[in-house]
Parts: sequence; structure tokens; C-alpha cells
Amino acid sequence: MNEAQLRQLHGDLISRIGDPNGAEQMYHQAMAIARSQSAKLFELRAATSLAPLWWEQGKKSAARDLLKPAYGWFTEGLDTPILRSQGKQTVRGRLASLATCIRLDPLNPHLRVGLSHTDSGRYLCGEYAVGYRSPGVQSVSRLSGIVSLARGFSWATWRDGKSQLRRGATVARNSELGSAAARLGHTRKIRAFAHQSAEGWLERMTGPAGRQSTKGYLISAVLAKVAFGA
Amino acid sequence: MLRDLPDGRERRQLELDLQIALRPALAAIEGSAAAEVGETIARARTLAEQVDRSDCLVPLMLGQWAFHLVRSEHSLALSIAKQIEQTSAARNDVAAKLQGRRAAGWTRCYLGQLIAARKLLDQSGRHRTFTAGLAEAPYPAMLCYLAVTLVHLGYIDQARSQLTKALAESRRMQHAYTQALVLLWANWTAMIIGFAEREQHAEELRAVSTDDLPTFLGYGTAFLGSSLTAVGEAEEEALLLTQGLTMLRATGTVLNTPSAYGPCGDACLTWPACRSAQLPPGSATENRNHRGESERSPIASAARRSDKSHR
Repeated sequence: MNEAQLRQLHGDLISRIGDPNGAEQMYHQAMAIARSQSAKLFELRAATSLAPLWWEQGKKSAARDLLKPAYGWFTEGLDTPILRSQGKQTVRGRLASLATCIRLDPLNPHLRVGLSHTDSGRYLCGEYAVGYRSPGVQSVSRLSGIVSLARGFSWATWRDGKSQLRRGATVARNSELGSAAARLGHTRKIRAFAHQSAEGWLERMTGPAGRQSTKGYLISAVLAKVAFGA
Repeated sequence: MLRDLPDGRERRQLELDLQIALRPALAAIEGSAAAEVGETIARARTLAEQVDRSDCLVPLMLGQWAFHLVRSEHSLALSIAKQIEQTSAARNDVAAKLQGRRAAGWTRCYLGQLIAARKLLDQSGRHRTFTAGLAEAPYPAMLCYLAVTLVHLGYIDQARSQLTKALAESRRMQHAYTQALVLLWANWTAMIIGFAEREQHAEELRAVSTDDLPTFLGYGTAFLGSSLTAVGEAEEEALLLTQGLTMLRATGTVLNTPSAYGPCGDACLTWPACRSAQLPPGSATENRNHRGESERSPIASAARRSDKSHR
């Protein structure tokens, strides 16, 4: 019974280390296994992992067609977190948020920034790496907090301990507030929060774990200007 | 005590009774898949054949089923569950027959045969009394198994309802092993459908298990680790996951470890400490036959012989 779940997790993991084709293959296998077992929940989980991949590849209608029937089958448990978030993400949130992703650094095509929709219903802002990540990019990505669609910010990758985690959390809050303000159209607040967020990133970039200050600042500045319109 | 008795039928009968009583206790303390448990079952079966005690077969087979299941030797476990049903039917033992059906249903769930599993578990639902051979109370355990099957099938509200009943029943009984089993599955279900109470369930599971139930303590620790992902505590998550998996490995447990390895794999990407976690014996490092069963299992060959004789 764990097989579909494991294939999906395998897909998620290899997707994060930059192998979308391998990940897609895993998701297909997960869905096929789940279908053969009538395991609807795991079919939906695999579909919601595959759909964003397709969306990024420009197969937008295929992504929608994949998710709609998988989600539409459910007649109960719609108030549970997994289905509530899947439902929101299916129709608008998750896919729409991916649509706002911006490729930032022309020298590093693997790094992107965007607004991401989380299962708490909020939008988060941050950069994340796609495709292969060199150690340097990985470091920037970690320091900036990867926005994981289903899991929120993952600051704890930073080895230096909890004080830095707390600082990270502050930055996360600021960028989150900036994102929320963006949704509500509050331009001044967007600027304020984006600025604080950018400052926070810059501060962390100059910390012992990262030597990516220039890149970090660049990302933050572009983020503030482009993603938030500040 | 046995050493002082001369070898003979009487001594063997006494040893058989002791081995049968010892198995569930060992399973609780060492873990259902511990090598000692397998050795105890193998010895008891040999003795039962020597002294012709067919009445002992069902409890032994139940123990054998649990042993193989927890080692993730599902095909073997299923064949033993079928044998339990057949043997009980021949002896007109309704309680044991329903236990066999419950065992078959739960094993089919692991094999991904969810619709068949649901049917079998539904049929075994009325049985509430303890049967020798297993450490847990059958009714709450059946409710959990049904809940897990229903979650897979997408019937989330029905699954939650069964789990609520199971939790209430296990708390009413105040039977530590059963309570730990129910909390394990409540935790797993909360993890799958994304409920926040998973951390609370994991803490409770650890509290119920303490050091007396190492398998459940291992699960509780691993699940607590995975629940920390949600709050971004990857370092602690990785450490707890590693700790939990180490505990499970020590008891020979393979079953359900993928649930812990999933978050662990995730944590490995972000926290290198988790990379030191090795696969438990029997998962991937051990030689397995074409049915995915461990060739090293101490009672696997006995079960295979028995399987053939029933065909």
C-alpha cells in the first residue's frame, strides 16, 4: 500500500534536486499504482505533484485536466487539510501562483523567484532553485528559504543554529506580509515589507554560512522591484 | 525449571505451553518481528507437531502471521492468514476464524488489494474478544485497519469515524499495547490527510510506549520527527527520524518504515545528519525472493512448507 506514496515521494525528491523528467516518470508510476489499487487519495497526491511540473512546461490545459477529475472524485473529507488545499490549489491557487514565477538571474537559469500559494491559504514569496543546483546556488536557495508549495518555508536547513532560524523566520514573515499586501493591493505596505525582507536577506547573505552577498542582494532587490512592483 | 525435567512428552507439553505464553510477551517487549519471536514460534510449532497438539496451531499461526507482516513478508503473511481461517473453520472456532479474516484483510491492504481488504475487515468487525496469539485487542485493531483502508480508498470521513471509535475503545480498555497500536494508525492517518493533531498523537504514542514497547516507541519517535517538518524544524526532525528508525531497526521491524523514510528523504536534502540513517535489515539490503520475502527469516521455510501442505 506504500508503493504509490513512495513513488510520489521519490518524484518529489528528485524534482527538488533538479530532474523533472525523472520526477514525471515517478508521478506517472505512482498514479498507475494508485489507480490499480483504487487508492484515490494517493492518485490525487501524485496528480497534484505532477500538475505543477506540467504547468511549468507550458502544458497548462493538461495540468488542469489531470487535477480536475482526481479532485472531483471526492465526496467526503473536503474539510480536511489535504483536500482543502488541493481544492484551492487545483483550481486557482497553486497553478496561478506558479504562473507568477519569474526567472531572475540570467547567469543562473536554475534560480527563480515567485509567489507561492501554501496550504494555509496564504501566499509566500521567495526564491527557489529549479533544475541542477550548484553548491553556491544551493546555498543561496537555502539561505533565502525555499518556498515549498505544501510545506511553507524551510529555514531550518541553516546549520548555524536557532538564532539564525529565528532571524530567518522574521524575514519570512516580512516577505509573507509583503505578499499578503500584494494580494490586497496595498502598495505602501508592499514596499515596506519587501524592503525589510530584502534587508533581512542581505543580512543573512553576509553571515558565516553564505558568501553570496552580491547575488543575495541582487535577488532581493529584483524581487522587491519586480515581484512586488515596489 | 525445564532443565530439571527429563526429556519426554510431559516436558515437551510444558515447554510448548511456556513458549506459547512467551511469544506475545516477547513480541510486545522485543517487537513482533524480533528474531527471538521467530525462534520462539518455530520451536513451539516443532513441539506442537511432536506432541500432536493441534489446538495450539491457531495462536501460533497468528503469531507467525504478525511476525511475517511486521517484517513486510506480505505473501507469507497472507498464506498464513488463509491457513488460520481454514484451520479455524475445520475446528468450528468462530472467533479464530474471524481473526483469520481480519489478518487476511489487513495483509491485503498492505498488498494494495484495498477493496478485498475492506470487505474482509468489514466481515470481521463484530469480533471483540481477545484470542491467544496476539498482543492487541482485536476490535480496536480492526477499526484501525479499516480506517487505513478507507483513507486509501478516499473515504476520509468514514476513516476518521472508525479511528475515533478505535481511540475511544482503546482508551476505555487502558490496554497499553492496543492503545499504542491505535495511536500509531491515528498518527499515520493524520499525517496522510494533513491533520495538525499528528504531533499530539506522536507524543501520546511515545508516552504510552515508553521503553516497554520499543517498536511503538520507534514509530512514535519517527512520527514525531516527521511532524516537525510542518513547523520547519528540519534539524530536530532529522535527528528524531534517525533515532526512531534506529529503534525500529533494532526490533527487526520493516513494516511502515516507508512512512518514516519519506520525510527522512526530504530532510536529507536539507539536513545532512539524516544521511547517516541506513536502511533497516530486510528492507533493501537483505536478500529477498521473488515475492519480496526475506530469505533469512527463521520461520520462513517452515511457513512455506506449511503453505504447500495446505494447497
